Amino acid sequence: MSLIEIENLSVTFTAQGRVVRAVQNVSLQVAAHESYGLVGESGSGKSTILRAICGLAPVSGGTIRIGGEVLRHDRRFAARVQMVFQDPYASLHPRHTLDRTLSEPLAIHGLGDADRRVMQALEAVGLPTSFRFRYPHQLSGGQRQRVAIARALMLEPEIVLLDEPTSALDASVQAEVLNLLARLRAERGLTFLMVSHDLAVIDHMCDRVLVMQHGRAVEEMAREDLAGARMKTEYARSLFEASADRMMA
Amino acid sequence: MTLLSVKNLRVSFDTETGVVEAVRGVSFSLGRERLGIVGESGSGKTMTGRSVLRLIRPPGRIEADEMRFDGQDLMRLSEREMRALRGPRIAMVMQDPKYSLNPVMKIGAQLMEGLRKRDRLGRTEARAKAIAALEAVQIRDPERVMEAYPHELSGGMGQRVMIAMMLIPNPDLLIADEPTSALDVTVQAEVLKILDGLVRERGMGLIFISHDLRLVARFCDRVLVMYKGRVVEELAAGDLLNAKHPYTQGLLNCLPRIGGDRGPLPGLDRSAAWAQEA
Repeated sequence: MSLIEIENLSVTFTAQGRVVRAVQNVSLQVAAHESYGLVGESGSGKSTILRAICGLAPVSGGTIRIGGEVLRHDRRFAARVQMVFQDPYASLHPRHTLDRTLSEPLAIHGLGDADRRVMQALEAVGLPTSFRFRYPHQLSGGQRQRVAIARALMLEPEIVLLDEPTSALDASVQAEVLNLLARLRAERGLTFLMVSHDLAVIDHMCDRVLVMQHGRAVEEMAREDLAGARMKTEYARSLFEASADRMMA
Repeated sequence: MTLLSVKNLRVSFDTETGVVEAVRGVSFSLGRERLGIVGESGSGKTMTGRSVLRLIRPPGRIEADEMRFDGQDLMRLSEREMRALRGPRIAMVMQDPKYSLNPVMKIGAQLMEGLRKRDRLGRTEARAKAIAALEAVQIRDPERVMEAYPHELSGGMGQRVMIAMMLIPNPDLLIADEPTSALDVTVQAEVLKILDGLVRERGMGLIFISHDLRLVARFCDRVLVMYKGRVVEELAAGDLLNAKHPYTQGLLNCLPRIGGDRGPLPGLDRSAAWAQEA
């Protein structure tokens, strides 16, 4: 049984009489401890899938199951599934210190020992513990993304949803954050569902990948097939060819 | 022919804790070509671009041995003469359409403002020119976009509107600061094609500022690599992926590659002599 099962998911937004079908009949399954990637251009619906899992986008059709249970957005869900957003400048509260940002989930879930846990979390993501009482504006973009990752891990979730976690970062900082994510996944046996428009990042991080276009699933590939250019659909191939400068020399 | 020549440009900021030098002795020259400036955030690439337009606010200071554009010494021009250059001769496309367009003014009104005030065109004529400018950047329904507010446009559309606006007066030099970093790959390719066409057809000079080495390698003719306010390497764009300087190599090596071994990515080693203050 897969840990994440999405069946015929549809997400439809209505705005000013216009109907936007952001996701249409997408199905996918992610096994425990797997890392699964979603790629496509902007507007292809890849981020909307993550948002639907979190309850940030309205599910208009289909089902999402986590560990066999139909999705319910309660406290237990938050302890199992957490998300890291694209822009670390926007996703942290500007007037909360790191200490407050990191201890809030603990308080909500009634977990004690906040002091030790916060210090541990900072260490786990490679931030000096002296940063504990700093505000986000005192940190660089890479450091902020580390905080966002630390926050996502406070409740020791099984599943982490990653929405373009490095696309706002410089190349050298991207490398550090990707290394951090890979290490945390190995250490804690995490399951990743990761969105990126960069095929090289997806190839580096994920075991399987789903190519999306206009809200629909186009093609699912194993990593070996991606690297070996064995795609079946024309769209996946064009995406691959547009990334020619990201291949191994 | 040299359009712009910059010698020993320095930008410094007086702060409470002393002087911070954002740009430290940058020199380059530009013809009617595409010059890329790459570097990480904080390397001084944006400050270099803004200096050419003298758009650094106090307490920032610009100093240069020479900064010459089309025969004029930019360091000696009065503020009034500078204003006459900004826009019609040298234009700049800023990074983020969200912050650079007026949020409470329709796109059409923003495009027509310059035409009406600077070129003293009538309403109808200004409108026709604005629509033509939108068409030139491949916006499919310019009539609708003219009536839209910035928040009603996607990032890619907003970015194209900004490029259209900058190109209306037909500048000789365009400075584009991360014009495509907010866009995804396919839209990015379209915007680059538009810029490329303008360099070829109008013989415009282009300074293309970006943190994306692969993009610059593909798109520009020549590249400056900046680190901590200095140019560490200047090379033909085609040679960028085989750069010799350890910093440039480091930047390239830390990118993941399709078919790579998925081991930890090498970090950037900043301990070598080149990274230290000179």
